[in-house]
Amino acid sequence: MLKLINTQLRVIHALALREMSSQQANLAYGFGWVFFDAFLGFASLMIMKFAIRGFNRPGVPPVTFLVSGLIPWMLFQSTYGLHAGTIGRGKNLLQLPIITELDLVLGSALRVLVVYTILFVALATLAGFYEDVAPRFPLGVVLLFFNMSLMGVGFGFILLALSRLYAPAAKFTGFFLRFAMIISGVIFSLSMFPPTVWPYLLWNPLLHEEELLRAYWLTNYQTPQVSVLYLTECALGIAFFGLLLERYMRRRLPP
Amino acid sequence: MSIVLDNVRVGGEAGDKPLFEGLSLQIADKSRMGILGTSKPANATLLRLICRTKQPDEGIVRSDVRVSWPIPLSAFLVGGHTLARNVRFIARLYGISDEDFPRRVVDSVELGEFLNKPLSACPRTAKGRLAFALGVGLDFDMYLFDGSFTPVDKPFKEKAAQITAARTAGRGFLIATNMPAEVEQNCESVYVLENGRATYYPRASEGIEHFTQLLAMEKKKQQRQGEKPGVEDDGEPLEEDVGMIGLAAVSIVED
Repeated sequence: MLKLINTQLRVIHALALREMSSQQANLAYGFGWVFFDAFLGFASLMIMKFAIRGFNRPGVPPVTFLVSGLIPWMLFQSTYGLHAGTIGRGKNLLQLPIITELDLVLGSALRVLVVYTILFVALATLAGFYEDVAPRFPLGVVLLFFNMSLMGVGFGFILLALSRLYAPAAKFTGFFLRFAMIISGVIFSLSMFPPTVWPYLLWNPLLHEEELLRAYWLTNYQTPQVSVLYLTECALGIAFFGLLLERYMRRRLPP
Repeated sequence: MSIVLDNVRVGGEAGDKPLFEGLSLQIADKSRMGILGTSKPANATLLRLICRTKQPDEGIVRSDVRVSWPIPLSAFLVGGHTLARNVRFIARLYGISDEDFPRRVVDSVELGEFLNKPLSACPRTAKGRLAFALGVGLDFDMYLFDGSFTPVDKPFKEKAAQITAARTAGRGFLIATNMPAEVEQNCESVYVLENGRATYYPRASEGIEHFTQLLAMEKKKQQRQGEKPGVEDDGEPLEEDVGMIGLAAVSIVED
């Protein structure tokens, strides 16, 4: 069993390295675009924040607020959306017996995680200097950041299975997730919504994730009713169900 | 230790007759086995089933030996990457940490001078040679060969045959081909593929004899089909004969 896990880790490592070096070889279209994309998203949300003062919560540093919300969200978005493309691009590699679809996806997810971790650390350091804020509970922030990647992988497999059963499913999910950004605490925190809708919004594990991230980061950030236990249950549940579907797809739903 | 296929079914392309139906075979490790089949796609599919890169629609494939990919598979090689980088990727996948491995592999097929050149900038034969060298350069319990033991590279054929003989000494190998000559000199026993099933011949010569008859019958049928009336000079069949030719094509597959 340990030998199998060791082999899989080795394969994922090799695939992630190959992806990273392929992107670096063409920098302008590789990492360059990731940083540019993140910068554009960040800048547009900053403009919104400063232009519409009502978005700001008193006592909450706006740049740190955005960094802690936007980058983890972008990590999730980039991770859940990579499955079909990675498997499609890696068809030639799947002819090697040692590589499975799961390895390809995990290798790619690892590459995305590395890129966004660099981005997150860089922007968080800048925000920290600019607003003089340091994370209150860094380990919690790190664990929640990795959790975003885990949920992205699991959710991506669920989405992949759905789209293999019913092709337009990916489109619908795309529309839904654009809306999800608004109700997941990326721009608006939970307390900005009327308390009457909280019970409905709190079904969303991503909202728990974003709120907890800020609560672990900022000293005076108050967030009502979010739960680490609920988030953990959801993350493990999504990952388990996603991996279950991946096993099912290998035999029953080939690409 | 062995490879077992039990009652395997693999469907054909879009409503065609299945490639395999009720296919069962057993290959012991360290056996030197040939598989003779008239259809190249069926041979390739069988190798993919054995190395587990394809799942059967029905039936069971069991294997407890480390098998290679079908040599000389080259789909995983990237033209823009150097030979060293292509080899290093495979080395990482299979856990080879020896720094000299790329040099050794490339030297073994007389490509040493191109080690740090992109594959696309190398001579046309380089891809086939590198694919061959990588396949036989790794340690497996059983080596799978698709079509031939050596690359289609005449000046290199003799040396390739020596490398294959040295690498497979004391280990198992399996070749799936439609060329009896490849099997005659190297294999102890043979499976002949016919009507989607495999028949075992403990002595290779008996299997080759049966397969030669099959090939002759197939050739005759193709000739008969070529002489069919109603086929216009441009190769397009007349409208009223389309159904009949379709049936003839099916009967060839059935035989």
